[in-house]
Amino acid sequence: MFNLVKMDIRHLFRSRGFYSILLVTTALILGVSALVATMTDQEVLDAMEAQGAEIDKSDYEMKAELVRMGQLNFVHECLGSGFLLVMAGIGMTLFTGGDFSSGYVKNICFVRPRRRDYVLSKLLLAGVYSGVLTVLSILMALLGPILAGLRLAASPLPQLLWYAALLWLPCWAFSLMALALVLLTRTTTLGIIMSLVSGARLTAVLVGTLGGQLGLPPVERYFLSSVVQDLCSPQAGAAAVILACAAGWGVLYAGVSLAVMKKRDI
Amino acid sequence: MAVIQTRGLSKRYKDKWAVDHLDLQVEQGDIYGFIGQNGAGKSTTLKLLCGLARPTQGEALLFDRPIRDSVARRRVGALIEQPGLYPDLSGRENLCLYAALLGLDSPERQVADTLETVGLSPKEKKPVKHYSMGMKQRLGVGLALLGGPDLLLLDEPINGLDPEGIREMRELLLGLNRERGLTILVSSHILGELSKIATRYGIIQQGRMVEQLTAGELAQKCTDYLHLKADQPQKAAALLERELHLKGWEMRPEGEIRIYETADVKAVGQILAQAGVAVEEMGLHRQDLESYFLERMGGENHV
Repeated sequence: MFNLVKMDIRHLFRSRGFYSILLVTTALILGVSALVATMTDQEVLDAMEAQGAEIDKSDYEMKAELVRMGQLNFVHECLGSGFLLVMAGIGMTLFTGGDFSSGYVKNICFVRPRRRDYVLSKLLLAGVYSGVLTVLSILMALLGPILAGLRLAASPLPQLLWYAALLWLPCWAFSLMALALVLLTRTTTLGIIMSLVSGARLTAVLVGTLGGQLGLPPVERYFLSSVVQDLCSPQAGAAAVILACAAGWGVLYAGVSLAVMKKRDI
Repeated sequence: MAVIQTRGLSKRYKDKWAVDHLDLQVEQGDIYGFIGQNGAGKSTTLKLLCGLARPTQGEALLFDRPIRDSVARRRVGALIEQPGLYPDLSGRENLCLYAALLGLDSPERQVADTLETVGLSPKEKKPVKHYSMGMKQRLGVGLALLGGPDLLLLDEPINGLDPEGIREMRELLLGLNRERGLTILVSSHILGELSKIATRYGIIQQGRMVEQLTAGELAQKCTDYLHLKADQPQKAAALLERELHLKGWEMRPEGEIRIYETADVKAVGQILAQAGVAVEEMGLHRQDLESYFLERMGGENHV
C-alpha cells in the first residue's frame, strides 16, 4: 500500500488542478486582505465619501474593529466561513474523479485488487491535501494583511498552530465526504455541488430550519461547516466538540467509501 | 503449462449472464485470439481475469494460482478497454506513476526502455490528451509491459487504429511473443488481424465458449470445399460416397452437400446426371476465419 500512497502523492503534486486550487485560494485570501486594508484606510473612506458613497457610523465601527483585530481573528474571518471546506471538497472531488474519468482506476485496482487499499490511500491523500491547503491558507491570511499594509496584533504561535490543527481536521473530514460522493457516483458532479452547498452552510441552515419547525434538537451544530465557524469560540470544550465531529464524520465517510468501493466492480 | 485456466467462470448482472460457465485455457507461449461479437462477454471475461470484477461463480487461475495471488499478478500486464491514462500528464509521467505503483527498481530506465519498445519518444512532453489514438493505444500497451510481465491481457488493442497503426501493433505483439516469450491473450472482433497473429483461438458467444481450437485445427477446418445443391440431396450424397469413395464430406441442414476432399467437378456432375439427379447449384468455396466464425455464430452444428 505504501507504493499506492507514494503514487497518489506524486500525482497530486504533479496535477494541474491541485495548483489551480492553491492559486485560487491564495488569490481570494489576498483579495480579502486588500479589501479589508481598504476598509481601514481613512483616506480611502474619505475619497469614497467624496464620490458620493454613504459612509455611516456602522462603517466606522467596523473600521475600528478591523484595526483592533488580531492575526488569529483575521485568519478565522477569512477561513472560518466554510471557504476552506469548499476548496478542500472541490479539490478532492476533482482528484478522485480524475481516476475514474481517465480510467486510471483500472490500472490502480489491477495492481492493488484490495479495494480498501485504494480507499485508505485516498484517505491519507485527503489528509495531505487538506493539510497543505490549510497551512497555505493560514500563511496567506497572515501574509496578506502585511502585504496590504494592515498592521494586525500578533497572535501567539502556539495559538495559531492549535488553530491550524483544529481547522485541518474538519477540512480533512469534509474532503472525505467528497471522496465518498465520487466513489458512489463515479462522477464529479455531486461532489462539487455538495462541496459548494455544504461548505457554504446551506445544508446546515436547511436542516436547522426544518429541525426547528419539527421541534428536533439542533443537530446542524455538529455539521462540519458549523464546527468550523466555532473554531475561535472561547467556550470550554469547543475543541473537543470539533475533534469529535471531525473524527465522527471522517469515520462515517470513510466507511461509506469503503463499502461502496468493495461492492461495485471497476 | 496453462498460463490461464478458467473453470465454470461466470458473471451475472441482474438477470443477465455476461459470462456463463466459461472454460478457457491459454498455454504458455500462445497468442490466444479471443473472438466474439460486441457484447459477447470478452471484456467482462478479461475484467474477471484482472480482478476488476468479481465472479458470480467458478474460478480462474493465473500460472496455477488464484487471480488474487500477488505473485501471479506481478507476472501479468493488462490493457482493458480504453487505456487508463491521466490526460494532463505526458506519456512518460503516466508510466512513471505506474512504475511508482509497481514499486519498480530503476523506474526511469524501465520507463525509457518501455517507451522505446512501444515506439514512443521518452523525451515527448506533450500531455496525453494531445496524443493520437494510436499513440494512446501504444502507451496503453506500454503500461501493460511495465514491470516485465510474462502474460499480457489485451482487450481490443487495435480498436480505432488506422491500417498503419494496426500493422505496427501487430508487429509489436509478434515481436514480444517471439523475442520475450510473452504469452498474449488478445480479444477482438477484427478477425482478419487476429488470423495473422493468433496461435490459438477461443470463440465466445453470449458469455459461453463456443469453441477453442489451435491455428492448425482452424486451418484444417477452414479448407476449401466443393458445395452443391441437388433436387434429391440424400440420393446425391449416397451416390457420390459410393462412386467417388468420399470420406471428407457433410450434409448441411439446408440440404447443401460439402465435399472437403479433392473431387473432379466434371465427374461429380456426370455421376449425378446419369442417376437422374438434377444439380441446382455447384461451386468451389474458400473459407477463411471470418466465414468460419460467422458460421459458428449463426449456424447450428453440422452432422
